[in-house]
Amino acid sequence: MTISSTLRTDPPAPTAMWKTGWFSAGWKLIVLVAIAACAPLVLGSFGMRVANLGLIMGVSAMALTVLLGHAGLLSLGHAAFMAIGAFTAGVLATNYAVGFLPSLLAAGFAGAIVGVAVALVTVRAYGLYLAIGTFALQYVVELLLTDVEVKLTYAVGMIMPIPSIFGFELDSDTRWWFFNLTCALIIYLGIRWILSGHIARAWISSRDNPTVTTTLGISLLRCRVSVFALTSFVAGLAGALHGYYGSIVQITNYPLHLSIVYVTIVVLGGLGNMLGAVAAAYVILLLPHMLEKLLAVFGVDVMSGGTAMEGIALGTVLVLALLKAPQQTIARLRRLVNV
Amino acid sequence: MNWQSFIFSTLGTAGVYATIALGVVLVYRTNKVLPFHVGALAMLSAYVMSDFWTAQTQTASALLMALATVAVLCAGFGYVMHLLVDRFGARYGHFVGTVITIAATTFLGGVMSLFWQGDVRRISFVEGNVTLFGTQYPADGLLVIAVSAAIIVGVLLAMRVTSIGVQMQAVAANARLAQLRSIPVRTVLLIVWIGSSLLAAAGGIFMATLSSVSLEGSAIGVSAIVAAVIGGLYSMPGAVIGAILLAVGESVVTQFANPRYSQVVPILMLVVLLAIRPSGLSGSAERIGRV
Repeated sequence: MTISSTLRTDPPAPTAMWKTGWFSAGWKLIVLVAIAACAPLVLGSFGMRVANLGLIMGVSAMALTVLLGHAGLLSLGHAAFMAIGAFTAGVLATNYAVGFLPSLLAAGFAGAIVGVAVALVTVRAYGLYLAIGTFALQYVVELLLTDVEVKLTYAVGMIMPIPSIFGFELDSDTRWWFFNLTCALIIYLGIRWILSGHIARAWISSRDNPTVTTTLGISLLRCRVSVFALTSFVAGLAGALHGYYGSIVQITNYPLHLSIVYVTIVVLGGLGNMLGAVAAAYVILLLPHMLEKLLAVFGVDVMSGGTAMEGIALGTVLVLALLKAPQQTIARLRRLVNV
Repeated sequence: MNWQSFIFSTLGTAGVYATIALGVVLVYRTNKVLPFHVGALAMLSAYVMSDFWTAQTQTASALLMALATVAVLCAGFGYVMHLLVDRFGARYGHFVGTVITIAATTFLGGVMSLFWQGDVRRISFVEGNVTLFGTQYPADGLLVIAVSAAIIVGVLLAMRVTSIGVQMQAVAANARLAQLRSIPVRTVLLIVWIGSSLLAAAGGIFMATLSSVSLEGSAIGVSAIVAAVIGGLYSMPGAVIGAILLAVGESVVTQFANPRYSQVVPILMLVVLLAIRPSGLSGSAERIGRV
């Protein structure tokens, strides 16, 4: 699979036009949401926590999958955008007593502003250079926000208040679940709506052939800025959600490692596939727990090597997903059976 | 700090960055893959070296044994990277290759924290100080400067003089044409990966001698990549100049401002470069491939 083959780049046939917009996911999405809405009935407290965290990661991953899959821009600074969102919400909520929904939106806009700035600075950089640029952003943001954290909270981190929406407090995992589900659904449908329009077609064409795109009178600068604005808005919002849900905002929660985790999620879920990204987010979130259980079977002390094993497993999963190892193995096995 | 020791520390840092950056340019030119893993590989090699070198009595044979172990490990790693990027990953393009090196970074980071749990170590080859022109310098530092300079000159010469160096240039220029001219492209690529791994290992060991080896030390990979980018990613002398510029910048910031901010220097240089002159100082006009 090349990156371009994951998406349809040619315009749909007229009869298929009705299927591309909002309702293409149609009944599948409705079934999915219905199943998700029943999750609190089945899952215990740990399960609900995983469900919530995974969904927030999934929302964030949806943004990155659009950036990487549709616009073809590799960002290694996704965690930085989340950190910016989380810190914006944290400062607003703890120092200025701003409400939950306004600070969520502000976090999104803070992310978007930084995203636009990154897009403007790196507009002349393509491909790998952009990857290095966002990699650099990650380092700078980590360094600066560590200073902010030390100055504002003496390196303790910002303790977030329990969010309330018009008096309705999000104080349990079940309440959070329905809120997150609503958020995820709104963002998913919103991004789908944008993807069905001409802006996303411009992104795809700038990904596949920048020269032709410019010839068609489409501004590459505008493409770059708009896709960064959208995806870093969502990333900032997801960062703020993550901060509120974890009830603490600390820079250590958004290391470079997290950016690589998100790239892994996106690759695993299929580039440009938003529902795939959400599913992959759950897989990667559960990976350490699965490893823990697996290692316990072999009697390995998990406390000492847990994070180390996670790094090793993450690297392996990313390589296997990139090289499409499962598909290759199946194809090879098929050939063997045929012979 | 007087100007002699300023130059001394700058040269040491520049040597480390340049050694690793040469490996970055080597891989980038031939594979069009940016090796993000060089920093982690450098630290891993330094850890292995520190295990073998302090545990035994410090004799010449022990040194050779330790160096040989690191070399074999790195060669093995280079072979794996060659397999993943050039054999299995070739059909997916150089972009996937770069993400594979990012995966390797996470993998190596995991291996390091599994075996060394974030230890901070130092490697020392020669004790004591050496007096040159009336100023005392640590002997270890002088050794690093001398060896790294020798390695840099050696690699630069090898690219021009030896047949494998010329073959590498041919593969970098046009792999298909090189193959038609009966250059064993796969073997050359394998040698490139092994060579760049060895260069990264050397850089890591230098780093451990000059300051220390730690998990966070993997950030030297970023500096080395930035040094290579400053040089335009295509030119080896350019990468060396980039490394020197970077080292000077970091030394100045450490000297006159907060040493904590010295790690922002490569980033700032990079941002300025990306905004103004993305093709680097050497100004190769070739467009960096899009995703």
